[in-house]
Amino acid sequence: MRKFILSILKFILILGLTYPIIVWVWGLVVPAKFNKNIDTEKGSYSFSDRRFNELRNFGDVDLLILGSSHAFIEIDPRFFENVGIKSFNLGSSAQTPIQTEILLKRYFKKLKPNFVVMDVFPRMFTMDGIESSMDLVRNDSVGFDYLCHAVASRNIKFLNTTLFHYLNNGFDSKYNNKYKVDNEYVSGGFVEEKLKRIKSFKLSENQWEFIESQFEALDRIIGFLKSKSVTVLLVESPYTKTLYASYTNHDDFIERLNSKVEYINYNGQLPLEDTLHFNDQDHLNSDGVRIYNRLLVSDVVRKMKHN
Amino acid sequence: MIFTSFEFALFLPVAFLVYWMIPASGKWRNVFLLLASYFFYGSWDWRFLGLIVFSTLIDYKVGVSMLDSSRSRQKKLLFLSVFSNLSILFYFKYSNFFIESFVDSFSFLGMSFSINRLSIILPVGISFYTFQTLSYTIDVYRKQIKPKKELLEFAAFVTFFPQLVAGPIERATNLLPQFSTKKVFRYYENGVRGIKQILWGLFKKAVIADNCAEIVNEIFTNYNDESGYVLMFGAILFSFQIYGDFSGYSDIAIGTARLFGFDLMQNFNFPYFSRDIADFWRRWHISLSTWFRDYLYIPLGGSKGGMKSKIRNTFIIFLISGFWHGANWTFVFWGGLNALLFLPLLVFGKNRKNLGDKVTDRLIPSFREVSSMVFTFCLITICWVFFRSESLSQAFYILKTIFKDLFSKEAMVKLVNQLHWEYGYIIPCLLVIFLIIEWVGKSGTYALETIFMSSNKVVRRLFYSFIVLLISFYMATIESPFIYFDF
Repeated sequence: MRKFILSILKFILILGLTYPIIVWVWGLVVPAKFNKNIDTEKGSYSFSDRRFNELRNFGDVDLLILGSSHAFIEIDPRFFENVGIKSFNLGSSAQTPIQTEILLKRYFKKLKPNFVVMDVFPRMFTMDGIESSMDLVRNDSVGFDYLCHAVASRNIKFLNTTLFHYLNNGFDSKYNNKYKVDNEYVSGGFVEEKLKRIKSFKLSENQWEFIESQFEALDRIIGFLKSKSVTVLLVESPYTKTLYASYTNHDDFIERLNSKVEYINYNGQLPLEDTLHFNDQDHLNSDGVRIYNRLLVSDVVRKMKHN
Repeated sequence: MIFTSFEFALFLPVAFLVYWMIPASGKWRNVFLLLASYFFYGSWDWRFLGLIVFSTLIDYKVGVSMLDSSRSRQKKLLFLSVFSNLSILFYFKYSNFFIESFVDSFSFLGMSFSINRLSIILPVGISFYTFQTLSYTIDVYRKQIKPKKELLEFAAFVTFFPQLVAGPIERATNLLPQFSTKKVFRYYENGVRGIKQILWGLFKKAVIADNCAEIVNEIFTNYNDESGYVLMFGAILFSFQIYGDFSGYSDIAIGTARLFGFDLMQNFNFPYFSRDIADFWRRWHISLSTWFRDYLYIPLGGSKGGMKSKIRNTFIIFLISGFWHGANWTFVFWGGLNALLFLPLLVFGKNRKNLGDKVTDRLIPSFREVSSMVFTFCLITICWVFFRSESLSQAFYILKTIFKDLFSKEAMVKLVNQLHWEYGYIIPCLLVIFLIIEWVGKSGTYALETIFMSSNKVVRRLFYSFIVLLISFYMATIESPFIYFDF
């Protein structure tokens, strides 16, 4: 029995110690299309690589924008710049509150914002956030915080990818060409999409199935920002009326957010039409972004003055 | 708590250490096993525990009561056991099937009415433990085993967690006496062999089955839009999915039991290396096939009697086996189709032709052996299409499209394109590695048992590390539930 336990422990110890090196070598040697659980390539539809590169040389900001694609596609820092507010959009693909918390703690000291706008799209409270975490570790510099997050996630692909990029820091990673899209990265973290419109569509009734840990992460974010005396505004950026109406338990979501901190739901507050102002079911097109940002900027300015 | 879950990865080492720390003398190890098994089973839904306790008590009481009873009373007691166990099984598993079939048959005759489906959750593993406890009472009735007087040992036998929810369906004659023996942990027999079998089971389930499942689910969901070659690819992948899934589960179950000092029966014997359908059924889900053989086929007359009764018995066994798998006509048809494919071998007396396993000794098989293995695999894959499809019409559509597109260059190009752009080459490569390891290791009861056994320790450990790495680098990140949990 003793011999068996010692053998197992020895096997686990040796494999555990050499595992990160094996992951790194395997990632370098095996072609990307034969690598299932190690994503070795950089690049992202959300231009995270460009965003993190720019962030390295970015100074203090007045306003920090956080959230998923609803943030980096729909909240344009140029509108804030027009009224003298320096902002940075730290949104990323499918960013859930769990990733928001990591990014905020990572970059708060660097950006020193005194106002934070965080987009809260209900779908982000229904996801585990692995897709977003993968996007971050592939494009950001990986540190101990990401490693801890990877271990806690219990997702082998995320863990392997994090280990690979952690050891590969400082070496060049290949850029994946599939992320070359028509959209354009705008300084300040915004992604400008080519003007598109969608045809009318129908959706059957559905319910959001929320994950409690995402609300817990949101609580921690709010607590952290409050401890730094930063004002937080939660915004639910507009998405199509059809998508909005298809979820029947949206009121539960509103109720949960209202109790935390100031929250504005922009759905139904703007003259937006599904077939005119949206790129797809949940993202505004550039016409829609203009309409939305005018109101958002005035709201933020008002709240900044009030504070 | 499925075997590939994080929870089981915590549960197993804790249970293992506590079990072996308990002194071998006395009943405390069995008490612990029983509690651990209830905890394991209750982790799905604590309400299921009531059913398993009920089954345990009924069959225990029936067994003990048979001890000093007359033959006619024993018969009545056996009937009570069979009736109560099968009633539970029928209620939970087949009620809605009969309701729907009843309504459908009337609507076919032009009379329509509606009866609401019953809101029933199928308790995990009910088909498995029902058959296991039934085998006990039948064996006691047949005087093949003495009734167990110790309720604790009997309850531990019924609920033994490694094989509780998806088998192997153990016989009381094999497993029950093991709860009465004093166990001593043996480094190689229990430890190394157990871990090796668990490792290979994990590979089959997490790497082979779950990766195949992702593509299979996509193809079978969108079957209307797919070409014949893509559907064929989906059917072949399903053959590997179900084998990896079920035999992987069995390997983990047997390996886990071994860690606790128990020997479970072999459930799969490299079935895709079979050279005819009869050979396949001697190698696939052995614990169920032999159950049907011992408790149904032989009582029906078995191979005795004329050809007519042999054919009738064969069809009965396959149809019931199909129905056991699920409450759907697709499973019944699947059983019937297997019986049909078995028929020519039975009629021409060739069903025992490949009984002696001649391929196992050679590394390179003859052309004839390869062609018979490939042919058998194709027949089995056709049968699996019915097993996987949601309805008979879906299965027929898939097979029709496969045969229609067999010589279509366009359909072949579509598969190549989908392989290149959508599915990738990882799964075909993994299947090749899997088949090579299975072929090289086919002389053991599972592939890793014999591979590199003549090499030194370092080579063996490097090979096991390689398997661990393959699991880590290629396991599916979307976990699919074990297919046989639905049965």
